[in-house]
Formats: sequence, structure tokens, C-alpha cells
Amino acid sequence: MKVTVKLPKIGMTMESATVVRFCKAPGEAFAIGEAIYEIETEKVNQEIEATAAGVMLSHCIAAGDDVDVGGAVCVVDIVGH
Amino acid sequence: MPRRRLIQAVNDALFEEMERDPKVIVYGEDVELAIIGDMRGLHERFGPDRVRNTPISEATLTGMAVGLAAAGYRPVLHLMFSNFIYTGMDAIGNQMAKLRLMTGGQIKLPITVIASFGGGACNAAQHSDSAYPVLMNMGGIKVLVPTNSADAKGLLKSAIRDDNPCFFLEPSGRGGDMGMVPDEEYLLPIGEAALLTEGDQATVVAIGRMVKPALATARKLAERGIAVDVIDPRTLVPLDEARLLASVGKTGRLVIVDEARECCGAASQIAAVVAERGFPFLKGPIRRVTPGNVAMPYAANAEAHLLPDEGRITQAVLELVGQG
Repeated sequence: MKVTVKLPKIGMTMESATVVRFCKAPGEAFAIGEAIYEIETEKVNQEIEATAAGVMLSHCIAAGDDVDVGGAVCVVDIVGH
Repeated sequence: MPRRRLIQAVNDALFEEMERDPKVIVYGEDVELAIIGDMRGLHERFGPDRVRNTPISEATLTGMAVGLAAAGYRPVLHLMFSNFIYTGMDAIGNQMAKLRLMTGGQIKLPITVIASFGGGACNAAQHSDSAYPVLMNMGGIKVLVPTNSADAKGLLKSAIRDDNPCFFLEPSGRGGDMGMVPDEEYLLPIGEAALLTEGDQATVVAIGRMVKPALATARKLAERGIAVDVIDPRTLVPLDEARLLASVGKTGRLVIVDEARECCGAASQIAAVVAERGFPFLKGPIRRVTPGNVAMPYAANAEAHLLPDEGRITQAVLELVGQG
């Protein structure tokens, strides 16, 4: 099943974040719990982990871009759904 | 020119000043883990001799700042929330503000106190005050309220190098705001207001977090043919009175947007200065847009009801220009 991964809100006052890097290129598979991208907020750098196994299909933005909370980061295909 | 979030710009300023001067030391209740983000990496880089967590005792922390400064250090105290200024008040009110004068200038007090201020983040009454009015009334303390990345960096570096106590107040919840910061070493003189938009119909002075809704209001008013000056004072002590009076001299109308309570707030002081020195320019009453004289509630809807917003700023301007 295709899923658009959206930027989570991980801080009380967080409104946006910079996506520092993608850990998976399009076509690469990932396991549950594996980091798929890393963000930088005003407070922390944080790897965002997959909540299901799947395959990275595409990146919606380039590494280094800012995304608002809830904005699309990447599209993945979730295995088994 | 790099893009930096406001909190990152504060962090950059601390790194640069600590690299430059070994007498700059940082301490407070959570500076090693850096819960607000502005102290990130300092403990790892400079170690426990210069970056140290302390027990929760603001009365001690502010006293330590006076002692450290008198002994030749340049302490940076992180108080976390501006409400804790009240908790540490004896050393602030009776020592920091007065010792330079009482010793005829023999004691220098290069103290920088950092704290976030203001509401809008559901931090409730005891963590949401804009506590600068009490500092403005002390008569010996500089009060800095930067609202963007470049100003934050430039003002903090100036504060750390200043031989007087400076309170550097970060707008709560706006630490993630992105802005451009100069490549080269950047110091902003303390006491210079910024003119952010220009117009001849009214002057809107906005402090701290209120700059954002003031600018949004100005954009919408401009679409209706009402152009206003928006001024960010950037520092409340010293206050750039010349800039404020020059603007009111052009527009004849003044709206002041302040997140501190109405009674004896920064807006009240600015209104008094303009009433005394700019009275011949005024075409109507000075309007303050502030919260009422109550504690900030926890609930988001109640908090939003109290805080100045675009609606209230717009209404104040429209009434002054005769369209309200």
C-alpha cells in the first residue's frame, strides 16, 4: 500500500523542520524500526523511524529543505498491507 | 548568508563568544541537556568548568551571577522562563541593578541572563509571563527582546561583551523561526529599533512575539490602501526613542502591541514617551493592544482570547484612521 509519510510534530512549539538527509534512496527496502530520514528542529536532530516494513518509492523534497509539520516528506510502499 | 533558526543563532553566538573569551561561562538549571535548544553542544565543547548544571534555586543563581561578574568572569545565566526573574529578584533588583552605581563604576557587572518569555504555548500562568516591565523599572539593567535570527545573534554577542547586566529574552515558541544571519562576525548595537515596513497612516510598535501578527496585519491593511510603519524596538532598555518619535512625527497615530500586561507594561512606557515628547504630532489617542491585567490561562482557547492578535491590531489601526 502506498503511503505518504508526513513530518511529525516532535516538540510542543515545533512548526517546521529541516530534513537533513534521507537514509533510504528510492527503491531501497527498510525494516520496521529502521531510520528512513533525519530531521533537524530548533532543539534536536532526530532520526525518524519506520513504523512498518516497506520500500522507499520517492522523496517529496530534497535533503536540506524545510517542511512544515504535516507536510509530505516521502512516499513509501508498506509491505503486507 | 546562512539560514539559521532563531534558537540556532543564539547557539552560534554562545559558541563564538565562548571561543573568543575564556571568561565567558554558562550555567543554569538545564544547560547541559539544553532543553530549549540554545545550549546545544556547549557542554561537549567547553566542558563542565565552563558549562554547568545547577540545582533549582534561582535566588542562588542570580546571586552567583553578581559574584562571578564582580570576580572578573562574564557569566551567562540561563533562567529558562522569564517568570523565574521573580524568583531570583533580590540579586537582580538590589545587586545587579545597583552595584555599578553604588561603587562609582569600580565594579563591572558583565552579566547576561537568558530566558524565554511570553504565552501562546499552553505553558500556564507561572511560565507564560512577559516579565520585562519589572526589569525596565530597575534603572540599571538592559533589556533585549530580539525577534529574528540575525537580531538574536547580534544582540546576544553585544550583551555578552557589555559591562552592564543585560537580560536577553527569547520569544517563547518562536525559536524555530528561520532567518538569514550574516556570514561575518555580527554584533548589533544595543538600543537601535528596526523599521520593518513603511507607511504614513499609522505607527505600529510591536514587541517580541507580537511582531509576527503586527506584520501580518500590516500586509492586509496595505491591501486596503492603509500603509503603516511597523517598528520592532528590539531593546526596551535602552529604548530607541528617536526612531519612535520620527515615525509618529510622520504618521500622527500610534498603536503599541505588547504581550506584557497593560498596567505599567512596555506599551505604557512607550505611550508615555510619545505623549510627553510627541504630543504635537498626534492626530488621535495612543492605543495599547495588550492582554488584560490577569494571569495567563493554561487552556489554549482562553490564552488565545487574551493575547493580542491580528483582529485586535487591525481594529485599533482602523479606529485611529477613522475606518473602525
